[in-house]
Amino acid sequence: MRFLFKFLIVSTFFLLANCAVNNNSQNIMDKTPQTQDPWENFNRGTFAFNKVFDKYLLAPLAKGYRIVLPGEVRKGIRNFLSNLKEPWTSINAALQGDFKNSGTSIVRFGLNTTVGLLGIFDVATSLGYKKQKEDFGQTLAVYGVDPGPYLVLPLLGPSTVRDAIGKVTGFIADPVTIALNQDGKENWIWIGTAVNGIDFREQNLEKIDNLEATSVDFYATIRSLYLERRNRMIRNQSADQQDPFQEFDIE
Amino acid sequence: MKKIGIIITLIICVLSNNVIAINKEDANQFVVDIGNQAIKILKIPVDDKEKRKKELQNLLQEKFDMPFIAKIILGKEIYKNTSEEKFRKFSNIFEIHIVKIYSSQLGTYKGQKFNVKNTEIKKKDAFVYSSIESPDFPNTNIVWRVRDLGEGLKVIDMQVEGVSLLRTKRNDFKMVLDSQGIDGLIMTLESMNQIPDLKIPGE
Repeated sequence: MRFLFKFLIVSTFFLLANCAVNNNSQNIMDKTPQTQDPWENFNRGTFAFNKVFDKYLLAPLAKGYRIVLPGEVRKGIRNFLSNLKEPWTSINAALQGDFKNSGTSIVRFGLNTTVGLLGIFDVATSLGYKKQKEDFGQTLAVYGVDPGPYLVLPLLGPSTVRDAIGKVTGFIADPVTIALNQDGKENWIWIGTAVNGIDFREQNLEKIDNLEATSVDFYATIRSLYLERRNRMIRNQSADQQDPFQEFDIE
Repeated sequence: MKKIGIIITLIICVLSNNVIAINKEDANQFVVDIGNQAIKILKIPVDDKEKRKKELQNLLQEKFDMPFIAKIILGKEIYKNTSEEKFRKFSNIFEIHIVKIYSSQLGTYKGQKFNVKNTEIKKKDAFVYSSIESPDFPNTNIVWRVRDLGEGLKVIDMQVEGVSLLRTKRNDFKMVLDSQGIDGLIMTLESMNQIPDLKIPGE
């Protein structure tokens, strides 16, 4: 009886101790890194300009694009434009030392350009060669270049200083761009960029509009989405390898 | 007798710790259940927005620790200086806000499949790695951060394609919290919660 009594006392003690642990576990340890946005006022100005551009030109064009072209045609155009990015992805993957992805991109480009009828059909994905886009901003990150301050680019949207340099380099050094320039078909570069933008907006018409409607501070939400998503792309880790919450520790 | 007492004490110690320690399989199954519930919501016709919202709210209340998430989003300093009543008010409004967000972002069912790939236990939390696979769209990777705060397993954060719900909402609320405090944020969210239902992707 005495033993049972002791047993109950000890059990109660540990159960209570456990409850205490539970309560302590609700303490907040916020290690969220501060966003590097020293040019916030300037960026908010550019963001406001981009919103006007979106409201009066991009979104209406995207809506028209959806009405005029059926889903399958839009998918074909998307695949075609995406296929043209494969050589640049391959170069960047190689520069990053990721020769497997570099090779995959070459195979994807070869298969989709031939069997996939100039890239309109993404046959490579169905054969197991998955797309993994790489750009020069990611390459710079691999070589240790910091992202620098957050930067909103006119018309192009959210970026960082490093990613903006990556974008400019992409415009100049992409083999497809070089080939088009050499053939005197530079207009196609701008047409391709514009169609890419319209297609992206079309794919995200409701998502972006709803995100704006449900954001207290749409600028901060977009900044957060861009920086986190970009960070994940740069870490280049698959979903089951990464440390998902990093410094955002909740203790 | 004394030795037996020590052994029992140790056993109880281990057992009592297990109450909050998370089992990989349990966390896995917990997230599989969430996925199944979410797929059910996707299958609700888009015209029936009220039902979609109701089911989503049920999912949040059952599987997510919303007051804990609300607390983290406010931050330690603001939470410490907020009365319990005001915090409860904020927590309720915040929940409606989250329902509004996800009911407007959740599309329609187009053959999506929800798969749990892997689960890792780190400190007190289980990180469950999952993906939504769709025949028409690229895969969406979601990582669920699951913790047992004494009331069973609950989601305390989720990361969709690298974007954390907690971090995004903290950044979204920061300017209003800094300039107008929790009262300003409550007022803003209250008025935002009044906006009519938004068009759902794929509607």
